[in-house]
Amino acid sequence: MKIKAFVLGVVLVLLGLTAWAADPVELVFWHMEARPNRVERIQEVCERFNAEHPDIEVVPYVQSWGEIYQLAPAAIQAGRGPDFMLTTPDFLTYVKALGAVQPVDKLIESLQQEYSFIQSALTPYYFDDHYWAVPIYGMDFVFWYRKDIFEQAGLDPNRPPKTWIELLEICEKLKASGVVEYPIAVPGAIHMATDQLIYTLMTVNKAEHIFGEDPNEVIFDNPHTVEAYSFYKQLFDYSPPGSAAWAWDEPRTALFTGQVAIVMEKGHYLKGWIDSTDLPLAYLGCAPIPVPEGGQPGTIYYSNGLMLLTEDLEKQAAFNEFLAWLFQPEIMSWLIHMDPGFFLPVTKEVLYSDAFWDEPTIKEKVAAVVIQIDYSEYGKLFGFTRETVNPNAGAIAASNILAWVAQQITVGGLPPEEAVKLGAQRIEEVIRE
Amino acid sequence: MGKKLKPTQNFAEIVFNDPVLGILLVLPLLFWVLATIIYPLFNTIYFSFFNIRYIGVPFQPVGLTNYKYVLQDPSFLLACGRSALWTLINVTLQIVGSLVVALILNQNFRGRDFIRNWVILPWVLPTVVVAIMWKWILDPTHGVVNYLLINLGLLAEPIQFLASPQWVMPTTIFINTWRWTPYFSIILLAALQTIQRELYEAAAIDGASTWNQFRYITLPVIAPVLSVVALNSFLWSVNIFDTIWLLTRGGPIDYTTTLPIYIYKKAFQEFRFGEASAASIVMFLGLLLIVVVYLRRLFRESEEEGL
Repeated sequence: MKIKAFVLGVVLVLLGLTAWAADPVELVFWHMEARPNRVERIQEVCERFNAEHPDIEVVPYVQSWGEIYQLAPAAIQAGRGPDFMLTTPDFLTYVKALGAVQPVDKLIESLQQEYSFIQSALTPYYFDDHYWAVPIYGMDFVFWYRKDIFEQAGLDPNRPPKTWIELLEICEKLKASGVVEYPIAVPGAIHMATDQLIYTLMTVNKAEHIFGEDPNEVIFDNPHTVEAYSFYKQLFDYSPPGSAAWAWDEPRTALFTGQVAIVMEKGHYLKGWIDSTDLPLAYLGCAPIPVPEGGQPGTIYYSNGLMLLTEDLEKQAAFNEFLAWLFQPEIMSWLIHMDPGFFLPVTKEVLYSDAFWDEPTIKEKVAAVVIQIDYSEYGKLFGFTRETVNPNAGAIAASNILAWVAQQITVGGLPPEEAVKLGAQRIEEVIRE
Repeated sequence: MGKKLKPTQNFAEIVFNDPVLGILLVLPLLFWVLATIIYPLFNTIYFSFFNIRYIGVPFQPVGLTNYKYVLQDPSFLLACGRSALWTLINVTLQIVGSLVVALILNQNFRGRDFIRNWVILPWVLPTVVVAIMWKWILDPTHGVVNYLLINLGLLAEPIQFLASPQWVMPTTIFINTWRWTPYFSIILLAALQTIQRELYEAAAIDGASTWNQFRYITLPVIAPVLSVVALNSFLWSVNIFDTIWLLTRGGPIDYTTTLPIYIYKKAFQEFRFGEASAASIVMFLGLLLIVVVYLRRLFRESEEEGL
């Protein structure tokens, strides 16, 4: 009887130990890539990792960008936040203010050694002497145009404008040809879409710095910014009526339906074109953003990154393992192909891998993807162009101040000089302590 | 407790005679109100005395600074003005509109039942559907309204309903009124149906005109319901956030930034929760004052009429 009890005890202890040992480390992962194809791909990536790493379980939860600013602080405060989550540089400053973000310097260092980051992807995540997130994919603005419409209007479809003057001339020619009533579509709503176009124009006109070296010094009000807004207004006048209420979808619809011939936007137009038109992809032209005289190559560029929130060392180690696995070129390419041509590699290893380029849409529009990648090197993000970041920089993007200034000009009829002055006051108002 | 009920006692009498039972029955609702209204309200009052940039971060007390800032902020004062205009026009249009619709639906005509069933549709639609639908209908380039107006020769250039300072407020008011009028008209229709036909017949025999029948029979009978409708319309209109936000996000520039939009922008765009709380409290006190004055007047009138 005693022996039986002893054996039973040993079996129970062993079973308990086995159960304890098999209990994987759970990593709760919030992301805001809510489009169905992206949700599915992220789920697949996590499942594959979990299958290959039985000791770790990454559990993805989809959130929405629209609600995350309210949801994340509440959840973190209540102790029910994720272990790590997707972020942008703006959102990072917001969450960092809660004191919930862990620095990831060592992880960045090891990934840098093995895979070599593209510098512009890393820059916005480095401030206050630390890296605060690991970039995973980037995106930037390029010049999209309808080659078929250019041809119908008597323009060379293989010669997109390189300068601001050429762009205005082409707009005039397109309008005069009668092929399209409105040559270009620009967003004008108080929305991120307008912010990002304006900032793209600012970067090519050397107005990328909103703050001085001192992160509390606002240098938004300068002749370069005024010129960028003046040019935006000229483009706006060629854009269809109602553009002051347009954000992402309307310009895209206008380009895809042939109502306009030009839009400046990010790379998701490739997949969008395939999904929503029956026209050949060859009709869709892509070029770098035109540059003014005395300007510089540029675009808005930012990367989405993963920020670590958990203080649990075991979970931090699991997060490091997940990232080390994710950054393998084949896996990372698979992830960023969830929207081919839109999400750009942030490491040179992925950039030079066959895995990234061996995707049908990317293969068909190699030139467009190359342009986006090339220009990501010149890319900037407003508020994140210096080594010291204003802690309230995120509020500038959240308040859509660049777009608000644009509306002062397009809707309110103010001269660009006055509107930019008002904008500088508003930025100071937003960042005041 | 344990009392034997008399066979003739109804439920109200039982509760009236047993206060403990009454309190127990009210308790869940009381708890719900405390948790969802009173607690957040006191929390907001508390927050309004602190400089809070981000929820969850330690914050400093600032006394009345947030109130001082908000009351001196030109954007806040403009938002108050826009809210007043928005509410006044919405309430007027909703009451007049719903009364007209209710009076029409109270008549006998072919297809009346069909219209009664479907008139509520705009109110049933989710706000996001309403906003997307109207944005496309009114779009200057793709929208059907401008297309028709231009093709009928009534317009040379499309109207920028949601993008021009002149049109944006009337347009959002129109959409909000279109949405809420059916709901109020159904309530008023229910009130109209309580009026006895004999009253109209007697008045007609006495030679009363249609207008006089409306003025001396219809209006006094439905007046209490109309008062409640007016109060609801006022409170719901002044607090509307979703429709405006989804249609215009408070723009163009700030032309549709009413008080709820101003408060939202302060809290979730500028991350100034202290100032947003102060603005909320100012708005709450203003509304409370109006509602108290209105209800006191309403109750006084009811007492004078012996109702």
